Amino acid sequence: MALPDYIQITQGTATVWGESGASGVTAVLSLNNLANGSARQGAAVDLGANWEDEYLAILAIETGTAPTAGNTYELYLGYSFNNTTWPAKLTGSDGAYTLGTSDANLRQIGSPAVVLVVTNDADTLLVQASSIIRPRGRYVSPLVDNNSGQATRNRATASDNLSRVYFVPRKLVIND
Amino acid sequence: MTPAELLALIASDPQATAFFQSGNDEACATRCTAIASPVRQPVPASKLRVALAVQGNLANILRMAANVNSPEPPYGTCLTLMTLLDAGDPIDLDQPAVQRQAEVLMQHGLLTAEHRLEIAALANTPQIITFHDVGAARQQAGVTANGIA
Repeated sequence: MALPDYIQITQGTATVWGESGASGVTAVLSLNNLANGSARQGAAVDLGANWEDEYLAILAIETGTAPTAGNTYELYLGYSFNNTTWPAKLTGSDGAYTLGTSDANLRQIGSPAVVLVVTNDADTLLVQASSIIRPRGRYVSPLVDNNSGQATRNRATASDNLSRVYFVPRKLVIND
Repeated sequence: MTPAELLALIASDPQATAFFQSGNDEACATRCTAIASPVRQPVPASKLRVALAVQGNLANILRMAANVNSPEPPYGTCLTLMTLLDAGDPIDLDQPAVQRQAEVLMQHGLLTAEHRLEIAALANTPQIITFHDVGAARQQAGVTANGIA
């Protein structure tokens, strides 16, 4: 008699964006001393020819001066089908991002993947609960927009900054 | 206040500049709100009516406006003022015509110089500057830190 099969979920290997050389980082997104009112885009990552249906997106920001509780950081994810054509003037490389007047450029990227609502904590790693994301292309590039009122922590050695973007595959597996 | 004007304001004040340069845009915004010159805006009729009442001038103006036998001036001025107050529209105290009417009221003992100054101050509206404004100014300036525009 055949045993029942179950479709279950397992985690794949996470892509971790952060400062170059920082612990665990696999792709560069320089978030050390990111000024309020500024945004930073990260290096593009190839999810592979056969990418997963869903991913967990997690935004973790290390504060410097304590921001006012309720202010936000937003994580946006831009996708490309060929690693060349990017929405919202993304470049696919780590670098500053020009939001444009009234965030005109940013409006081309769509809704934020994660909104980190800060608490009034100085020099603290704040982590927002993850979102489940369905990528709209093989290549993905993150963009973090700082609307917290304060710069992120300014570490003398940038790679000591703990701010990260995690992108964790949710793989479907069939188990007997 | 435009981003360029805000940058100039920040540059004019050492404390605001220090906050700005350290990336503390919330404190910078609070400081800028404190030092920014108020802007002049039309005053709601209700606010003006209360101010005149508190000063004790409203009754005299109303009495003058309500009596067709009142001397002219100030009868017309008082009637116009009461009409505007009753209509409820905001009144631009800096309009030359309004200034002239205030002169008439003063000439006829219906408004003192001190009270006129109090009334004029009602049009002063503080400029509220938020950290978003400071962030926008920072973007325009393309300055500091990691998010250089």
